Amino acid sequence: MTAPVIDRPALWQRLHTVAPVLLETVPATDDDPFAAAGQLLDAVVRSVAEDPGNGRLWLLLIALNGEFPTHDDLMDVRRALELHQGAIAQHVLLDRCLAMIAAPEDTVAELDLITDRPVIDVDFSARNELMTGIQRVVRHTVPRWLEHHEFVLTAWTTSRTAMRRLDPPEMQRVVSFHDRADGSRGKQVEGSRPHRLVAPWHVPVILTEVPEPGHAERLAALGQHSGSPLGLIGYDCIPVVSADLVTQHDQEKFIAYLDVVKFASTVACISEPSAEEFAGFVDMVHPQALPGPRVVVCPLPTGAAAAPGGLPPVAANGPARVVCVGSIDRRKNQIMVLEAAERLWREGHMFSLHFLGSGGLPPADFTEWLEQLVASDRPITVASEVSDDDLTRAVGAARFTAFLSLHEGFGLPVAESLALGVPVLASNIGSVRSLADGHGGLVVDPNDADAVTTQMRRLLTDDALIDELRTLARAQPSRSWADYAADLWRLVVDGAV
Amino acid sequence: MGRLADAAERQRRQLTTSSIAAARLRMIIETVQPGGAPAANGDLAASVADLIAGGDPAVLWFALAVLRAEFPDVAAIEDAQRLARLDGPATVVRRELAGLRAAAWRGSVPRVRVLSEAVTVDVSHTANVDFVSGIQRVVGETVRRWVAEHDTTLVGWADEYVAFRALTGDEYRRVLGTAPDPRSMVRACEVLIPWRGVHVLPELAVERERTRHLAGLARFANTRVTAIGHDCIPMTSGVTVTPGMTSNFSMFLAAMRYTDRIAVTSHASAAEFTGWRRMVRAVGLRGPDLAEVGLPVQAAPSTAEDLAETKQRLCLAGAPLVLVVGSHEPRKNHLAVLHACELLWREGLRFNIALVGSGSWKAEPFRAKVAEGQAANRPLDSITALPDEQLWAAYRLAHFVLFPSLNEGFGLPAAEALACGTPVITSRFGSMEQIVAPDGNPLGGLLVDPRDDRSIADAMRTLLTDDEAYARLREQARARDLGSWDSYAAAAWAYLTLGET
Repeated sequence: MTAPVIDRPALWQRLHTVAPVLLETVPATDDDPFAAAGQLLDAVVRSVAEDPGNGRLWLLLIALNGEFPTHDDLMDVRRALELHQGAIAQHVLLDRCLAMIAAPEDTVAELDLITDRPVIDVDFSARNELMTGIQRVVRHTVPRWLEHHEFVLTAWTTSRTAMRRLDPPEMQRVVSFHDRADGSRGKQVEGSRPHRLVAPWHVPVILTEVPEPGHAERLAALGQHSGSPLGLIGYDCIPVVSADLVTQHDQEKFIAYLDVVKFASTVACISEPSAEEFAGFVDMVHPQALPGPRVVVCPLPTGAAAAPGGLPPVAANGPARVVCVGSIDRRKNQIMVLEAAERLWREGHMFSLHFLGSGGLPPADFTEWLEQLVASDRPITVASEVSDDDLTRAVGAARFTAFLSLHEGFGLPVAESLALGVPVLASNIGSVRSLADGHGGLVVDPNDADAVTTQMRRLLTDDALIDELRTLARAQPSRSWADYAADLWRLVVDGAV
Repeated sequence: MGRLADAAERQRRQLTTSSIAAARLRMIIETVQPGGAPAANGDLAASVADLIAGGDPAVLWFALAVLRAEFPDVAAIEDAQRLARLDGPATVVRRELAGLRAAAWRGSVPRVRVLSEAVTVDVSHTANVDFVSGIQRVVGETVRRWVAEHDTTLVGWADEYVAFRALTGDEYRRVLGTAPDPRSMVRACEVLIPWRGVHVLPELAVERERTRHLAGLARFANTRVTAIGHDCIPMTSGVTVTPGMTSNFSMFLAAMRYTDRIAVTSHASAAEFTGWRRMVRAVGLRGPDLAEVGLPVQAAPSTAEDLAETKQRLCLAGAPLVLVVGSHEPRKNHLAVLHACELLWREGLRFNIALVGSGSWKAEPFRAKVAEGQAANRPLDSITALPDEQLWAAYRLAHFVLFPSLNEGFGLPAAEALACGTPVITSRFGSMEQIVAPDGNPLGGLLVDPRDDRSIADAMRTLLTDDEAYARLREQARARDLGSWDSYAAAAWAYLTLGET
């Protein structure tokens, strides 16, 4: 490994950028950037060393390293500065910085200091084409914020060490995902390098996703030390409450994220039960004399306005269609739908079953059984990579949808089915129960196969029940993505200052 | 000749196989329906299918456990329930018997024994490690007393954590410090299947296979599972634990959702487990009952010889000894301790510091700082292994004990210092605060903000320079009573096995 060499013109630019907030008066410096960097550094180190707080040191380390520091980095430098003075302090500081740089290539990047508007982190949604629940929330919310507010969107550098600006393809992925020119779809293009780094300074920083473990520690340090209030969208705590339903990677990723939650100022949860989960975690950190974040509820859209696309539902002819939306995995419990369907087919009921959804880890027992049933001519289809329009068409044409998930933060497929006026057979658990019960859904214990079969039989045979549920679904109050975006801004951005 | 021998061997194996299958089926019938009517025309498999048909998941769990000599996990139970619903319980029994016959033919079936209405205590980890951490000390002191006073079966796990088995003689010795009465020993190669018992987990279980099988037991069997809840640090201070620990701990918590009761060790661990249960209840599960059974600390005596040996090893003439006990992991905050010491040495204060604790993950910065201090001739010692007698002697020889940890379920070194009458500096929150100030007023120690090195240094300076304050703390420390293992073991037993608080 080669020793990192700090690029001095970039260093000068970064120091010059942060100097106004680190110094009361910025000293005059030489025109030569090499000399100027040295002169600025001297003044800045003196000023930061005298400050007992860690906020300005946090910013200085970003300027010096082109990387966001971890808590351990900060404490290491803080202690070194306490033991040395003057020119030696400067040497010791630079020495520590060189030792802690994780990605030398980022030290050539220039820095923008953001002091007058929120910073919204959309790392994964910007860099990936995937469209799961979290990306749906991000890609529905951020464009609506753009209509009313000014802010900076960020992702993380390739080395996961610093926040940076988005490049144009990434920007499109977040703000105009469905309206992009066909040519730009599906490509994981990275723009020109190096990206400009972004350092928020005493402005709200909003994390819209669950971060990858690689940069969680640096985000936690931002929350703990930077002076910028950190706002989060709280989706769910599935990996620590129902660890047996997710992968080991997700378990590790989520606990790394909990270190960020510990030092956040607000968590806006997507449902009441999700808020209960986060509030429980906040209770857990009180013995460390940490206040933990304020937990608030900002429910995702429901009612007609939550429909995935703008198409009106079309009633289908022929045998009843049962539609099951969501990635196929153990947590979504599709095997229970399959069992109830098989028992009802054996009883002689006529209907077809359609699974729609991408991603997930289909459990072996489900896949094996599905193949057997398809081979014996049961009317089952499975479609992945479904567009919003196709989803709307399929759900709209269903007699009812089935969503028997064992644990959800919200349950978007339930909201979307009801938005289209289509009844749902839904779990009686947490947020799924609140979405469905009394609003056009029939709720049932998703572990009770007999109950699931009984309710599915009712939905297949009882037309009056279907009519009643359709009426209830259409009658529920409507909450739109615009409502959600406005409430979320009020809670995590306005609420933070 | 060869052919004849083969045929005889095949016949022998077939007989063995059938008799094993029959014995297992009989074991199920006799346990689930003792004294019930004999099977119609001797069809044992049909009788077991009838029992399963009753729909009680506990009976299904037990039948599968006996036939497989392995605890079924949650997925195995759900799969068998599904098969029973769609194709009938007889199909389930047929499938299990086919599996059993195949295993018996290969000669790879262990003996199975049913433990009916027994109290089992799972000490699998404590029985197999040589080191003594806080948890192992609790397990040793508690289980020793339970075994002496109650009918208790200590168990470990067979093979890849698939089922209980009795402990080996070595394992008994490691947990209890004594050899067991040979009459109480069961063969360690037997698989033990509990029926209507109580299973107590006094230690932390993080092996993924172990928690997977434990979850099936807790959720479906008719044995009540209870546990001692030490802490949730891998979740609440995840960044401080070894890689892999966080996910393994999540699986432990997933199993704990289905336990009946957890005895938590301090206010801090009560807050952690109560917060976790709030999360569990948000999904509509009940979660376990929780009760705080506070841990005690009793100092072991030190002989004059222990004191002399330890003094020679740790103390410097004329300098007070500052003792730090704890492994080198970041959570123990040793870097803050070393920095506070450096600040005080620079002020000209005289003391030497001994850090006693084993190496651990992420200890490199600690080792580097120790080397740096020693190179600068600071009176600084890191001792990675100290026999128990010398540790107790060190507690008594120390001017004070320094324990500013960032998070503890129960801060054992702080309590052990007080039990020896030695003042302690520890963190002003969580279990450490509770140990020093059980009623809100610190007695025998000073409380500091462990995230502020200056706060640690200030408290150290007080105990090194203010003789009057020091004498008062020493007096208070000597008067402290931190409870006894006898009363802890009795209270924990009452709660974990009977639900009495």
